[in-house]
Amino acid sequence: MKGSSDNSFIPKRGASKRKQTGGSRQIYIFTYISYILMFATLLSSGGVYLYQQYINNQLDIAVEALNSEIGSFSQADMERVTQFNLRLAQAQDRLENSMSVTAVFEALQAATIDTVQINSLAMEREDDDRIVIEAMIQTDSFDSTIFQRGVFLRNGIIQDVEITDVKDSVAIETGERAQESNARPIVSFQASLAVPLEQIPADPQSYQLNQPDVIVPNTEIPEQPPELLIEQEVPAQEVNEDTL
Amino acid sequence: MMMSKNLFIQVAMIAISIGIIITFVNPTFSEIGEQQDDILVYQTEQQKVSGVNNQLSSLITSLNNVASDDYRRLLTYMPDEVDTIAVARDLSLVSRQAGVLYISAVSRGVVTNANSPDNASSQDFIQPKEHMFSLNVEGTYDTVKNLFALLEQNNYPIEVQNVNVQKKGGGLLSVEIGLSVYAYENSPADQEIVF
Repeated sequence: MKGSSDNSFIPKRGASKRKQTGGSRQIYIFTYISYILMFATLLSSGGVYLYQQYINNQLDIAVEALNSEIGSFSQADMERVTQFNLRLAQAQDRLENSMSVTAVFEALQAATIDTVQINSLAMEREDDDRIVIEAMIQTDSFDSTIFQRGVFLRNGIIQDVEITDVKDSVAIETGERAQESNARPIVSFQASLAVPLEQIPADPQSYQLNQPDVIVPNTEIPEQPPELLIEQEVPAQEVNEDTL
Repeated sequence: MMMSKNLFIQVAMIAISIGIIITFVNPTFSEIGEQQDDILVYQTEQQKVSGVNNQLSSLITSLNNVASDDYRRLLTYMPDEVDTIAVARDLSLVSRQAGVLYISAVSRGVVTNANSPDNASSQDFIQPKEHMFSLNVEGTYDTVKNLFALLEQNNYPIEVQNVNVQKKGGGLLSVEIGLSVYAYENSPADQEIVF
């Protein structure tokens, strides 16, 4: 006897006939991904290997180029240039720091008043900065001393004027006859002056314009002033422009 | 059964792929990056060396173009060595040319502390070797001034370091002059360049 369910218009579904269509589709995508990944990995591995070979080659070329460039460097040429440059720099340094003692004397002349007499003079060069002058000066009065100090201070070249050891005394001058003696006041003092080197530069070009031949040593006996005509041996020497 | 075998193969392929990527592709990429950096460094250094070589070549050309007369003057102005006898002779000749009475010219040796480590730190370059001389003369004010003028015009530097002037009788002055003459001092750092 058939049950009531057999007459139902709703079809019966057997559990064994059910198809798992969704599961097979997932496996297909997974397979697809795995194949792509595998091929991509193999391709990229090959590509990376080949690119590495190319980069290695490029590195070898770069190293070779650097070694070649280093090999073309000349140590001897470099030493020649650096030595020439250093010699030039040393010569230029001495030239730039050269100073004129004549200019110092000129400055002192210009800054010395008529009533003043310089008894002794000492100059000392302090590196390449300045000349320090110590002078023992004698004059006839304190007023002259003050005036002289003012002239030193107003001078544009001389700097750092310091007047010390001011002493007054009397000098007795004996005339032709022993009875004639003349006493005159003396004020002596020590002047310390400083002159910056940049104020008294030597100017070789001006010398060359004025006296082009004066630097050549001369074996001829120069004319001596009358007061210096003292017997002296003058050895015969050869003229040599290259003195060093 | 067949399905699980396929799945196993697929999983194995993925695992192998990941393994290849981790063990080969990624390290190789890193190595390639380092090599590219190295190439860049080598190329930069090569350009620098090339620049130095070009500059050196240019300087050598300039050096070769220096007139021989100018080069000889430079060697006279800053010689390799100072001949103390020749300097004494020159001082004697210059003194007589100036019109002063030449008394003596004596070498006082070499100043050794010019390039000492204490001084070297404060200087930009190596100072030349300094030879000291002492010159004693007698003369009038004008002849002494003339002597200094001639010393300033010498073809190598004779620098006055100190002067001591004393009055003597008869309008004469006794002058003691400390002088410096210079010679080229080579740089101690001039050693072979090692790349």
